[in-house]
Amino acid sequence: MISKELMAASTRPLILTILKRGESYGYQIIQDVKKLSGGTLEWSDGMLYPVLHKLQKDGCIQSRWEVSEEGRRRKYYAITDTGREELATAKQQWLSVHEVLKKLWGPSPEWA
Amino acid sequence: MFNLEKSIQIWKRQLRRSPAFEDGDIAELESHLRDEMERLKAEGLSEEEAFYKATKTFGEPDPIADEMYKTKTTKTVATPPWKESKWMPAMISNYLKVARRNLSQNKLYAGINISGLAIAIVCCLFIYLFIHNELNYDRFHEKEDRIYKVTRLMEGNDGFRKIGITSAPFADALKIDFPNTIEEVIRIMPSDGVVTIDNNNFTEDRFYIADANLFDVFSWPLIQGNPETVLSQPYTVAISEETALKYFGNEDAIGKTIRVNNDNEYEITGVFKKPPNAQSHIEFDLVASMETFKNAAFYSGWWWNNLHTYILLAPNVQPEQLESQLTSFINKYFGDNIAQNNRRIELALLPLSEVYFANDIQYDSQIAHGDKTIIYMFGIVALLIIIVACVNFVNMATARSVSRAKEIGIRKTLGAHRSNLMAQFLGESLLMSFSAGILSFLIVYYTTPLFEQLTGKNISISLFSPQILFFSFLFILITGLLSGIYPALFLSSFEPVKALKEKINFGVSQLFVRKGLIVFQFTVSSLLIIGTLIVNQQLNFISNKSLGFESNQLLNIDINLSVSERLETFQQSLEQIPGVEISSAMSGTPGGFYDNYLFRAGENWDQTHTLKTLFTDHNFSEVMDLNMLAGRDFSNEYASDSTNSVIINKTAADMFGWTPELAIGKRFQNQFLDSTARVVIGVVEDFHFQSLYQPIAPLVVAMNDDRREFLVKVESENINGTLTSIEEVWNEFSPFFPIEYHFIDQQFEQLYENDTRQRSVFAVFTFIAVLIACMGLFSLASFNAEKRRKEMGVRKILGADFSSILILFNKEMLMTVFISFIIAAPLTYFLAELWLQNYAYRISNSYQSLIIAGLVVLTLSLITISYQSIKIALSNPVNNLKND
Repeated sequence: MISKELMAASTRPLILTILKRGESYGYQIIQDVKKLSGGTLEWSDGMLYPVLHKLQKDGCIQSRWEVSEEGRRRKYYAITDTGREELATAKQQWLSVHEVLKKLWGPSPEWA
Repeated sequence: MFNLEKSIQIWKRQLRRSPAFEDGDIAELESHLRDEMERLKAEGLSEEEAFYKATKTFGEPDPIADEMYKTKTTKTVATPPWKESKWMPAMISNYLKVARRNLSQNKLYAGINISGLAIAIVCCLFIYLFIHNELNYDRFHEKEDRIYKVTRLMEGNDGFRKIGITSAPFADALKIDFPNTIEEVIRIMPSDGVVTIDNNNFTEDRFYIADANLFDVFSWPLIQGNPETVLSQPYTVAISEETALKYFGNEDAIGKTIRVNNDNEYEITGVFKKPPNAQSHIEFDLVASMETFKNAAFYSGWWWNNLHTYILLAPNVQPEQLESQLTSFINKYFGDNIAQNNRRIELALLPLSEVYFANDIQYDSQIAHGDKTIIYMFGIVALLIIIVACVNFVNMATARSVSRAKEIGIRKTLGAHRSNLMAQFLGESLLMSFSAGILSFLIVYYTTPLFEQLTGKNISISLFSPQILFFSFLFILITGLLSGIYPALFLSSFEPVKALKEKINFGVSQLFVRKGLIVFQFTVSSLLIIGTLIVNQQLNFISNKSLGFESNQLLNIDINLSVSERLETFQQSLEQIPGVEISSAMSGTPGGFYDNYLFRAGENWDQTHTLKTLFTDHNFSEVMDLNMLAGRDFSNEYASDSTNSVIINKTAADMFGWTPELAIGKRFQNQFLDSTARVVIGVVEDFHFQSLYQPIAPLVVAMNDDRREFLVKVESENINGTLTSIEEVWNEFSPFFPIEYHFIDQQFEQLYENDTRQRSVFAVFTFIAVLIACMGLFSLASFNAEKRRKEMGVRKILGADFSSILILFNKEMLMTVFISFIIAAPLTYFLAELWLQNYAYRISNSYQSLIIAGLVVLTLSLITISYQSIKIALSNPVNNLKND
C-alpha cells in the first residue's frame, strides 16, 4: 500500500500521463491505474472524480459527454496544453527525486 | 427480491444529500458504478453482489463530497458551509444580527431585561464588596493566626460577663509566667490628645499608647524609623503618613518633636503607613510609647482596666495549652479578691480574626465591631435579588418566544439542530447578561461613595482588583447561563411545523411555571416590604419611647482634668448663664458609660451583687426631672448624704423583693470604694440609662467625687447663645483643651446608629427588589395583553365594556400576587419575631404591618398591570382583529 500523502501527490501526474495517451473516462482511468500498478495503487474509486474535476478547473484537462454504444452516458476527459506543461514539470520533479533516491539506495549504500 | 434500479436510486439519493454533488457529477458517478458492476458481473458475480461490491470499492460519499467541494470553491481553507466549523459556528454572524435586531425591535423588553439584571448585579457587587470588606478585617497582619486578645470573664449575678479591657500589669505577669508559650505581649491603650506644632493645635482623637513591639507583632509597615527601637524610649511617638503630611507637609518628620496636651514634648521616631486594603479593628493616627507612662498610677494598678492586651503565641503553640493554665494564673494574682468577693475571674483568649465580630464583649467600645448577622442578611438579600432578576429574564424570554416561534420554525426547517438553537439562545442571554454586567460596573464605579455613605463603611478593595473581576465574570457568566438555559431548552423544543403554523401549545405546565416564578418574586418582595415596615416601626417605637426622664435640652459636657480640679466653681459659673436651668456632674450620663461595682446589700450580707452605679451630686434627679417613689432626694441639708446615703432605682428594689417604701433604710456597701455601709434614703423611678436593647438594670446612685461628665439642662430658647456662653465659661477654666459636648438625644440616636443604617440599606434593597419584580410583572402583563388581543377584540365587539375587560384582565394576575402574599406573611412574621427579640423594649409583632405591606404589594402590582390592561381595554377592536 502507498501512503495517503504520496497518493495525493502522485494522482495528478498519473492521470495526466494516462490522458496523454488518449481520451478516456473516469472508470477507464481507474482500471488503467490498477492494471499498471498491479494493485499496489489503490484508491476508493470515487476519490478519482474530485481530482478530475480539480484538474479540469485548473485547465489541465477538458471534458465532454458522449453516449456509448450501450447507450450509457460517459464523460470523456482529454489533456490540454496546460496539462502537458504541468505534466512535463511534474515529470522533471519526480525524476529528480527518483534520481536522488536511486543514488542513495543504489549499489554502494553509504546512506541506507 | 433485489431491485437494481431501486438500489441505484437509493445510492444516488445518498449522494444528493451532499450539496457538493451536482446532477452532472452524479450522472458521471452513476455511469462509473454501472461500468464497474458490468465488469464484476462478467467475473461471475450476481447482480446483487456486484452492486454491493461496486459501491464498496467506490467508497463512502462523505469524504468524496468534501474533496468535490474543494474543487468548487476559491477559498484556500475550505470547510463546506454545511459542516460545523471547529472553532466558531458558521451562523455566528447571523445569530448576532438576529440578536441585535431582536433587541432593537423590542427596546422595551430589552431595556427592562438588561436594566433589571444590571441593577441586580449592582446590588450583588456592592454586597460582595461589603462582605469582602467585613471579612477581611485584621487579615493583613502577617502573624494574625498567632495573635490573641486577652479578655476577662467576670462572674456577675447570673453567669460570666466578657470584658474586652484589661489593666497594664497583666502584660508583664503573662510574659514572666509563660516564657515558653508566649512570644510577645503587647498593650494598646486608646486615648486622645491635643498636639501643638508651631502654635497650631490639632485635636487628635486617635492618639494611642502602645508597647515598643507594636510594629513587630502587628503588620502596619513602618516606612521611616528603626522597628527595633521605634517606641522603646519614653516620650517617643510614631505617626501615620497622613498625620506627618498634615503636620509637616513634605518635610522629614523623623526627629521632630511635638508638644502633647500642652505638657510634654515627644520625639517622632517612626512614620507608619496604613497599607491599602487593610482594615483593622484598631485604628490610630499617632501612637506614643508605653514606656512614657511607666510611673503613671494606672501602670501598676491591677484593677485599672483601661487598655487592650494582645499576646503573640510562640510558633506551634496551641491556644488551649495556654488557656488551661490561665485559671492558676488568675488565682495567683487575684486569689485574695476572689476569696473575698466570692466571684470568679477568668481569662480567655480571643483569636485576632474574631475580635472584630465579637459583639458580646463589654467595655470594648473604642474598637471597631462588625456584625455577622448583617453579613448573612446581606448575603441572603443579594441572593434573593439576583434570583428575582433571573426569574424576570426567564419569564420574559419564554413569553417573547411566541413571537420567535416562526424564526425557530424556519431555522429548524433549514436544518438547524437543536444544539444550534440552544447555543443561539444561550448566546443571546449571555450577550444580555454581559451588557448588564458592563452597565453595572459603570454604575458601581460611580456610586461607590454613595454606598459608603449609606453603610458607613470604607470600601477598601478596588472594583478592578483581579478577584472582583474574576468573581464578576464568573457571576455574570453563571447568571447568563442560568437565566438562558430554561428558555433555550424550551424554545429549541418547538416542533417546526407547529411553530410555523403558530400552533405552539404553551400548555398548562408552561403557565404554571411562569406563574410559579411570579409567585416566588412577589413572595420575596412582600417579605422585604413587610420586613422594612417592621424594622421601621420598631425604630420609630424606640426613638419615640419615653426614656423615663426628660431628655430634651439635656447637654452632656465631657469633664477633663483642668475642669475637674475646680468642679464646684465651674458648676457655679455654668449655672449663672441665663439659658442654663440646672446642672449636675456625674460618673455617666444616660446612653453613656456606667460602671459595675460589687455590692453587699440588704439582709443577706454574705451575698454579693454586681450592680450598675451612678456617682453624682445632689442635683441629679432635678436635672433629669426624675421622681422619688419613696424616701427623699440627696439634699444639702444632710451633710452625711455624701458618705452615708444611696438612692436606688425601682428595679434594684424589685431585685431584692422590696417595695419602694420597704427599701428605705436598707444597707448597701460598695466593696471597692466604701469602708462602711450606706443607707438607702430614697427610691427613684426607673429611667432608661442604657439603650433599649437592654432592660433597665438595677442602679445604685451615690454621691462621690468620681464624676466625669456634666449634665446640663438648658432652656429651649436661644440655645445657640447659651452654647456660646457655656463655651466661654469652659475656655476660662480650660483654655487649652477645647470643649466637647453633645445632646443626650444624639447620644441615644448613636446607640441605634447601626440599626438606622440597616434600616436605610434594607429599604434601598427592598425598593430594588420590588422594582425588579414589578418590571417582570409589567412585561408579563404586556405579553398577556398581546396574546389575548384578538380575544379582547371579539369581546368588545360582542358588547364587553371597559370595566369588564379590565376586571377580567387584572383578576388573574392579582390572584397570583395575592397567593405570594399569603406565603410571605407567616414567613415574615416568624423572621420579624426573631429580629425583635434583640430588643428588650419592642413593638408587638402586629398584623398592621402585614396588612399595610399586602396593600402596598397589591397596589403596586395593580398599577403595573393596569397600564397594559387599560391600554387594551381602550384599544380599538378593529385594530385588534386585523390580521398582521
